Amino acid sequence: MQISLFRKKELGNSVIFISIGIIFLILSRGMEADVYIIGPGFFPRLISASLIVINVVRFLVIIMSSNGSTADVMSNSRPLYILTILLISYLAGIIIVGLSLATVLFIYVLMSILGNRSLFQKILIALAVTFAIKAIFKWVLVLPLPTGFWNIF
Amino acid sequence: MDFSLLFWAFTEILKPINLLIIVASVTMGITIGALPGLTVTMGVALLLPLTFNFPTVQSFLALMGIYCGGVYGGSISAILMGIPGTPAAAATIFDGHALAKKGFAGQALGLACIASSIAGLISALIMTFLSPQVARIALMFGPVEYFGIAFFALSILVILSGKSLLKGFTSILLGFLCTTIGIEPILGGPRFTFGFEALSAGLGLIPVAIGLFGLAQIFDDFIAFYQSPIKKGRQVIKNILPRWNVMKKISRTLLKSTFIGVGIGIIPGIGPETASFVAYAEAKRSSKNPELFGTGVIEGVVAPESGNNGVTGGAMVPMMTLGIPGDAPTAILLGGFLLHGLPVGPMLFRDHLNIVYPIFGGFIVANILMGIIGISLARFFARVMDVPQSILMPIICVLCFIGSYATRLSLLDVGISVFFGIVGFFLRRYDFPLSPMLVSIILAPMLEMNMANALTIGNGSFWVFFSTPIGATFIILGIIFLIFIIVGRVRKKEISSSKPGNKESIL
Repeated sequence: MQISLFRKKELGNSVIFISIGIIFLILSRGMEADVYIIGPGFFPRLISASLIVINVVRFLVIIMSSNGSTADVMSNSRPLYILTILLISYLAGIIIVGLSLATVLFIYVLMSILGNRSLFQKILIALAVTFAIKAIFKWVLVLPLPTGFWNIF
Repeated sequence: MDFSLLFWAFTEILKPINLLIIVASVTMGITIGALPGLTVTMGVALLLPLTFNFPTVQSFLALMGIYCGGVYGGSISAILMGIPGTPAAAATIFDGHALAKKGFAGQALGLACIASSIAGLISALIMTFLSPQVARIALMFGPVEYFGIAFFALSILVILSGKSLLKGFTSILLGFLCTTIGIEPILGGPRFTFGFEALSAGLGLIPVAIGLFGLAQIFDDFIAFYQSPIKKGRQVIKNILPRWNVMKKISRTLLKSTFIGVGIGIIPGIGPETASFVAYAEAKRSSKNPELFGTGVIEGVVAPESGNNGVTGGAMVPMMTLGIPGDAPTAILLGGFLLHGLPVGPMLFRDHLNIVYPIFGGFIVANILMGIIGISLARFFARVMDVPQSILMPIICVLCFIGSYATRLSLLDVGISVFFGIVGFFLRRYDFPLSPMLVSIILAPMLEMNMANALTIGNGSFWVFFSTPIGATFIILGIIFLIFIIVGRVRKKEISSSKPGNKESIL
């Protein structure tokens, strides 16, 4: 049952790569050069064509083969969604409220999700890490860190 | 080679203030290298303006300390966290992190440090004694030769393809496609930027590397933790200083990898990232037990670390003698020469020996001190492994974000990193090797540019790639290598097709 599911997903990812190849192949049309022998479109065309050929071969092989890899196929996608949403929220938070506040909130929330029950530890680590990052990057290395829309933190 | 000048240079370098500068900069370099996303290039770039007011020799001692320390420092987070502090340390993850997981973090850190120090020292000596002669060979290289070298390096990459050659090729091609986004190298116009000016600078190696190796790992760890939280026992850090029998065991790999590193370093444009992977691949190929690589073998730590530190001295050779930087940090060092009003190239060796020899001497001393400092701090860095996942994971996440942002001060890079984190997670789940993808990102611009130039020289004829002995040799070697690997895989599959559990194939 798992092998069958895996083969389905393998077929799916080979189709995705073929599609990526086709998209790049179409996009690279018209990128020609007058002076040079090859234009800027030559390399992407060569690469995307190779990607299509290799994944068509993969597709055919997967269909014809009786056995398949038993690589770990994820059965529960929930943690993947949680972390993805969390990371995107962190990025959005950096843009909106700045790195410092977003980092404090992100660390607090992620530590909570990971099962840390100590309120004191969560607050302390969130503040300490944020301060350390600010100290190293802003004050020692003099890198401008994102301060959000309101330039407060 | 003027030995009296070299002796004088050592007496200068061993003055307390100069030693202090080297110790401080090597320590800073190791720290920068160890922080994921902070690269050696960035460290050298950040320190360059700060050292501008230093006397010339001291300025270069500081920059070289950062350079040497940073290249080694990348291995610390690679071993302890499974995140390459620098792209050059990506190959160290395979066995370094595996050793740490088995409870041998101390041994892995010690070996990485000793290998880095010895390789750096050997490369510094080679730089000192052979630089003008070796650089003369590199001077003969043109687009055909560069294309040949890049092609050869790519064929070596196939070794890292893991269980499936087709998946390995797919990874390499995906890496190539990533580099087609941004300013194209032939006419200098935007390509695949989709109207976003921010994409003109390309995807950036660091955000992609942090995504593929850092965030993808966090996804894996998070899912594993979420499904079955495991409380880690305290990591015992012991045997940091390798024993004599271990040193004897690794000596062959160390020397071979160092010379690979030096050789690759001398070739302009190919940096420690490629050297570490090539050295790793060669160590795996020549091993009696190649199947154990990736599961935590000491040669798998020694090879990439001696390979990437071997580059440091090698990369200085064409930079100092020809004015051609061997890799990105030496390109910034070259800027340092110009800032101090020093000409690079043969004139430097004719008119400024009072600067050249202290640089040679400083490089040698910096590598020795790096070994001492690295071993001394190894236990301290290894303590990171004791921190619970619930604390470590958020911190690593934040470092990945900061690292992606800090390289180009762009939040788009953070988005790119998150995207490649998800892509890397899925690629790993389906057995697509990530390392060939990363290395192909490094090699692709060189390959494309030199392919275009060579074809222009040859009026569009592909025979131009066989028109020079060096270029033709590398291309033929690459083709032979590819055939050898494919035939080898097919034979292996035929022999063991009846055996259950065999997973290695060309498909």
